[in-house]
Amino acid sequence: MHPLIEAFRSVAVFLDEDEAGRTTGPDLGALARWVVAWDAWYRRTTGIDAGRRRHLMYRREVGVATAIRLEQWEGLRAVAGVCQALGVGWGLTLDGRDASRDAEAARSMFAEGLIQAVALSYGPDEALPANTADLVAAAFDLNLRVTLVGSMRRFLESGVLSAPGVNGRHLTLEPTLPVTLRDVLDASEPCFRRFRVLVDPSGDLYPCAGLLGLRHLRLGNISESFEETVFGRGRGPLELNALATCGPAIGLGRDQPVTSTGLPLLCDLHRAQLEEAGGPA
Amino acid sequence: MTRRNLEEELALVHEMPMSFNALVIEYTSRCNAKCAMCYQAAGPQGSDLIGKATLDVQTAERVIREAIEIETVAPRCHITGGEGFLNAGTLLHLVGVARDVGFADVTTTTNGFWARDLAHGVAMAARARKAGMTSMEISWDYWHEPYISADAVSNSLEACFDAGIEANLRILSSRSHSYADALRGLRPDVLELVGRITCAPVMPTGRGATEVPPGDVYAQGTLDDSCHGMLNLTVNARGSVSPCCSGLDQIAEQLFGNVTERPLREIVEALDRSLLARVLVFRGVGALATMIEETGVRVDGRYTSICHQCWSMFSDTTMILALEDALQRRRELGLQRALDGMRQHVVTA
Repeated sequence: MHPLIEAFRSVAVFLDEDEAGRTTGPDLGALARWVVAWDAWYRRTTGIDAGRRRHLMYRREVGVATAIRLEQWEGLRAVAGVCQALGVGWGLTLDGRDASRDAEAARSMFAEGLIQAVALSYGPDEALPANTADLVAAAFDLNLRVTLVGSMRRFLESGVLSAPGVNGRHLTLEPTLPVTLRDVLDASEPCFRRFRVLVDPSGDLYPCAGLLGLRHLRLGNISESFEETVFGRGRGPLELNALATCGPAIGLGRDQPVTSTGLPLLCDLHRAQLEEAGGPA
Repeated sequence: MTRRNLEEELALVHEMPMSFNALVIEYTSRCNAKCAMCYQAAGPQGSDLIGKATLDVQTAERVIREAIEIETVAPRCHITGGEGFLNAGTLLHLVGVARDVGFADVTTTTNGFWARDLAHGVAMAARARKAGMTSMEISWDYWHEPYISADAVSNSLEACFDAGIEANLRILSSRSHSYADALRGLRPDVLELVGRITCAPVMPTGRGATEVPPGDVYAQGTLDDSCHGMLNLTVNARGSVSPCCSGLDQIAEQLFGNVTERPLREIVEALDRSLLARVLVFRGVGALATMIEETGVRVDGRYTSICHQCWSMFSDTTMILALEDALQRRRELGLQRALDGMRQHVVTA
């Protein structure tokens, strides 16, 4: 069996901002320090530091999952630098329209060499900016992995998917229109592949996107030492091993329409169940 | 090559264990389609490369049970063909075995033909979900069109969504046939239901080597690249094992072992010790090409990617023999130098 720790080799960070557009959380200095601590904990617990299981060094990444604007990069640069020093990949989600507004600044950011992966996120309600294809091509030319997040209809309308410099490159598309699900599941599935360390704007830690914000289920906070969190203690409000290997024991067969959050149906059902219960999974 | 790059590469060759993102079982070489770009050259009569072959179910089950115990294999099991749904019973049985032994992610690649009729597709996806399938890669592009209807593909995406199986729509393109061209053939509403769409350029390997015009193919990366971060432990329909499913799994030569003859763990351990395999994955196929040319055999440099080069070289018996000769010479030279060093030590003493 694969140890649970392998699931926590990557981190996804969710930011927030105030009405003035300033990034409000989590504290980026604390985040940078926490990334160092997380990396040390991972390397120690897996045995990498002792020369064992070195293959677990692959595919480690810290990524910002919230779509940010270019001006927010300044505060994140230090965290990206920490990741580079640790040999951990760094990924960003950018507000695609904002990036197109100042494409030169976006290109300069890509060219710094601190970013390995970029997701360009677009809302569904407006046409894509005319320079979207050029921006995507620039990211590819600088050897970034590129994901486009948004409406497939808008991507097709814009011509980006047939543009020179984009066609023929390794591109990932993530449709994001919310849809109402028509049916319910009759089988659970392991959560292992969806587990990673999630950091929400208040610095709270969660094992997956489906549980984000359910404070009674958090695994700790970036202000705490690892030993104080569930990662260090090994015990917490969730049966992480059971979730990783078997998945949640949700109320299967419930005939209740659920509006998708963009997560797998299983996650939406599990979250709905936990919110109802107000208790552990 | 800079000294630092060489030191890094040698550190990988000597120290890093070979690891795999998934176990891939290509249990049949048959497919109901005969797409021009198919890297397996699969078709109704099997593969043009490895013939008509099916891995027997008992062997496939054993391989799945053995693989979950190998810690350098990530807990993802990909069961496919050819076209895996040609024998849905076998496919879903193996999916169930993979789930039961503890693979966290159980997937397949399919052309979606089984969803020609939406109701049938929905029922099939529900079966797959119940068996333990977590994700499905559904292939669609210009070259699939003569064999698979766009409606079937659209229905298969809708069926996956209904069943709660994450669908990864895989699109290939060339200079003449873009991602947009392929996507426009599908129903717009189902494109919004897909988990993700993975777009990549077509490779001139397998049937593509002769049927896709060379000028239509995009180059990918450089020929100095290596593949050690992208490996999948692959067992083809003949039981032959390879470290990837991008072409090396489809050569007639059996380079690394066969699961019908040896336990999988033994093969993986031998693969991890193999100088040929380690140089190939950690230093890149370009390093092997250099060795081959030292024997006087010319390596054609007109490759569009390392996968293209790797498949081409290992599909050529002359090159394989030259490589084995080159590696043997290196071993002997290394041993001779070690012995010379020892003799000098004795003289000095």
